[in-house]
Amino acid sequence: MNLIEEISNFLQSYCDCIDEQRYEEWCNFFIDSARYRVTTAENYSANYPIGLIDCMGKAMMQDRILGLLKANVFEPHTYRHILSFPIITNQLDSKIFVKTSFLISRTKQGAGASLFVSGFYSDELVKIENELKIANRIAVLDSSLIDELIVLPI
Amino acid sequence: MSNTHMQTIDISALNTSRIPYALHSDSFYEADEQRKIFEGNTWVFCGLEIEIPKQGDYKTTWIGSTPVIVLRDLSNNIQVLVNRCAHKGSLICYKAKGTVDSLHCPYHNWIYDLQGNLKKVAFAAGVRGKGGIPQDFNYAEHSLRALKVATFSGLIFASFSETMPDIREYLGLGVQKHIERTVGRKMKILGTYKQTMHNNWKLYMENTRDSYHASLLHVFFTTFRLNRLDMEGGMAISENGWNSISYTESVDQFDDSVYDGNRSLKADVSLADPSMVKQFKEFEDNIVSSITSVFPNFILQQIGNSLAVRQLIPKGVNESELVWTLLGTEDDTDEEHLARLKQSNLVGPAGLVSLEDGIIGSFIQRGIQHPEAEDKAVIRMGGDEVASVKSRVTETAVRGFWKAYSSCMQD
Repeated sequence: MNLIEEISNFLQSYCDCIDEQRYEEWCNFFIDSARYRVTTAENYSANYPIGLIDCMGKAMMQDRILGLLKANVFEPHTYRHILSFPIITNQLDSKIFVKTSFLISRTKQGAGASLFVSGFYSDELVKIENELKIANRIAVLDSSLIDELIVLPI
Repeated sequence: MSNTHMQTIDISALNTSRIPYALHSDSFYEADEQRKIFEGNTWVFCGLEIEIPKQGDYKTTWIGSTPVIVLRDLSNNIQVLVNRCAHKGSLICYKAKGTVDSLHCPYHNWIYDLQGNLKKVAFAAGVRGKGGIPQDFNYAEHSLRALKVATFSGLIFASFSETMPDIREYLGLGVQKHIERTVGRKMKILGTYKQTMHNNWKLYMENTRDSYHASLLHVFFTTFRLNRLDMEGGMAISENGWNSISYTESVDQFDDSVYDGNRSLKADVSLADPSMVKQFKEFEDNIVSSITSVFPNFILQQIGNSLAVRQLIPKGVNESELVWTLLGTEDDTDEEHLARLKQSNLVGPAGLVSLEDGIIGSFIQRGIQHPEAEDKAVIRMGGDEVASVKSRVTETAVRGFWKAYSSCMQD
């Protein structure tokens, strides 16, 4: 496999993990010190530091999944991520910078599927023991308007 | 099925402890609410001064269902103008924000100054002596509607009424002081987002005043001991009952032993990274979290050090939109800034302690479609009064909302 195929497979497995509701496994796509953010194009372009989610480290990601599984109240629903081809925007030493567009449809129990969010991931990937991991991911949503709530990872 | 509104609910005799579901589900009340509440004797929140820092800066928003332009004119005064051209009624500003020195309608290029005065009608003199505006057309009669504007602690309120009391009086002394204490400083915007909720606007405003639900619906809070009903706290209600502050106090909040091990009420649940809920001492009082709710559409949030203002915009009888602006201060240290970023995970549509608010109103909305006139909510926790109380196991502020509602709807 060449690098771009490898990245493409990795990003797709991340989506499969969420879409197949294996939420406990989601954190494993990240290194321990990783940052995971979800924000909006409006905040991103205005350089506003607060978006919708900002996990500083894997522990905070685990807490979010704990909330999702044990505490938060919401109607059961699932996502389906559709990714664009990933573009490598830069490579520095062992860091690979990648940009990928996404569409996510949301399906609530007993309801139809509908487009939930669209946007792009801006990622910093690293290879650890020959395995790709996310060191930094920002999911930038095109719209600032969120329908109801976000509880599953983007 | 009976046609509920034909049995007309007598708003003047509204029992604030028993609210008919029809007030949330029947579109019969919508036009009256627009006229008597959003365009009535209220101060409606429509933004922050720091959103339009320079002369000519504008943003567009809504007062109920009426589109408005909030701008800083060339004399540095804040104006709130109805965003509706006097010619055909088109929106004049159709972007979320921008900077202008005059207002141009995109349709026929009628031009207004930043106070809303009509200055120029395109081809007013016609072409080659033909066409154009008649001689008797009076420009002064075709200005944009300029609303009364009040600013307080950087917040912008507008009113369609010419006879509004001073904003301080409207808020009440306690609410006024609390807003001043929270955002009456040099604030800066840290982020924004909006949220669609599939429920009537009043259900959300009730929710912001309902201190009873906080630790029951938002289990994340309870689980990690951020907010439990056995903590000190209460409701402070304004003199007229319209506005409220729900607050939680902790005398030993900054004693780290409170978070020791983060053992929760569920024995198997603990936070992997407690820094997300680690607060710094920001205020002289002991209030560690507070929600201020001002009739009809303003909320000020302090969840630990996560500060935000929320503006509610009704979108028809079954939907509303909540506009969030997250705030910090110009003087925040790096550590304080970082704490605000971490605590931002608790709030908003993806907030670990607040995301349920995005759906709970919709559960009610779905539960109460086509009610009979006698189908009513029970709002009796803490009795039937509207008064400040040193307890949060109460719906006193929800009753206060209905007191304000009933008062406006009788006007």
